[in-house]
Amino acid sequence: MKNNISDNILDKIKDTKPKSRFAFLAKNYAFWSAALLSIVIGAITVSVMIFIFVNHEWALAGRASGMFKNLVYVLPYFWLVIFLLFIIIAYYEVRHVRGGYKIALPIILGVYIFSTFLLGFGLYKVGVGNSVEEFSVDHAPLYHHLAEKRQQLLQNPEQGIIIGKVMGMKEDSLNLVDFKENVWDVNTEEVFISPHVKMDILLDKIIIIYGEKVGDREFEAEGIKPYMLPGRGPGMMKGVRGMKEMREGVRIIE
Amino acid sequence: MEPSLSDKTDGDLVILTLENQENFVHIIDRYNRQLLAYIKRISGLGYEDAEDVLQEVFVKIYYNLNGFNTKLKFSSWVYRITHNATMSELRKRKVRPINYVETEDLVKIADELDISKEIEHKDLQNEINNILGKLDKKYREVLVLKFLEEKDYNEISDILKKPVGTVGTLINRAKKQFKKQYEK
Repeated sequence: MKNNISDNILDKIKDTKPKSRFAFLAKNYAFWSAALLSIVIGAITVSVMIFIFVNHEWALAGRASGMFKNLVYVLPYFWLVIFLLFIIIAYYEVRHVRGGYKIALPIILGVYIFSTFLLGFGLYKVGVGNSVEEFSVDHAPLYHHLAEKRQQLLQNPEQGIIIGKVMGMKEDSLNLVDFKENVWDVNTEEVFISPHVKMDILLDKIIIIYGEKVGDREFEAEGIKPYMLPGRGPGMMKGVRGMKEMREGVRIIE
Repeated sequence: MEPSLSDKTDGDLVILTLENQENFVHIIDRYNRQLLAYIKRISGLGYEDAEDVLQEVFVKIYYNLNGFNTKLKFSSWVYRITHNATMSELRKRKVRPINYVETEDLVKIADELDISKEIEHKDLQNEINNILGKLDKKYREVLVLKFLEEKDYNEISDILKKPVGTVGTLINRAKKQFKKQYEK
């Protein structure tokens, strides 16, 4: 039997050459690279989630729409799904690198979550969360819809909160159009605005105004806050600078 | 005196085979009996079918020689290829692995599971075979590797590509399942 098997096998492989070492190395590196890419994508989703949580006006939106509704609408399902998807992809890739099967699932999960959160926080700090969020709002219709829903949480004139885009400005008032395309005449006399701030930076920006509804489409402002969503502003860095100027220039009267 | 090729380590034989294909015969000679037995144990294939699988296994081993990770034992690596090729053959045939354990192997299993006193009875041998046949594939695989192929946890981990902890858990569960079925 022995000789028979050996002869048969040698006969079968006589025209075969072993697969090159390079092919095995390339496959191994490809899986490692894909695993690292999954971490980067996971980190980007984390940076966007941080951005959404940090920039949401929890107190005002809570007052306007209730905290439960806020939680339901603000939870970043879209990014959570992507984050979870890339955990699975990273797990698959690590299990396929050389010796990767020795690494237990909890270790892979722990390293993935730790590294994506660490890198994600760094990316958030340099503005990647902001820019990806803006890009998604501008280019993904479904995501745009979700962002609008979040924005609408801040619209409740009866509770003294409106949100909309500034269409025109005068010395003591401004015109604001809300998402239902109602035009509001807002009295800003009670809001302190630093004299050296060029007011035109508010034009075309989305802002939140809180105060009191005094007429059918008339509002008495007590304070003004900028709102970044749905990301209609300029590019990332310009957007960040614009926000900073707005925050410095518009004092919010509590 | 120069050691003969059959005295060389597996690693040396791999290098020699990569230099000269003819040297592969020494790897075949070293492993063909145990791999054939392993194929039969995990598949229940008859001698001729198992031998066909074995030939495929050696072709795969040769083709993938450059992918052998020298951090592994060569035997673990060839067992892994054999395991995968056998499972793939069973999938192709669309059959569930049938248990095929010879009497001497049954004695080994009975020893390990503390039921050896009664193993002389033919009925019991049949029963053990039946129980092995009823176990989940994942449990039967680890029992065969642990008690019949006498592989340690690390080797089983390398063969089945599972973490060592998972292998330990599978073996414990397999023993429990086996005893539970036996006591029924």
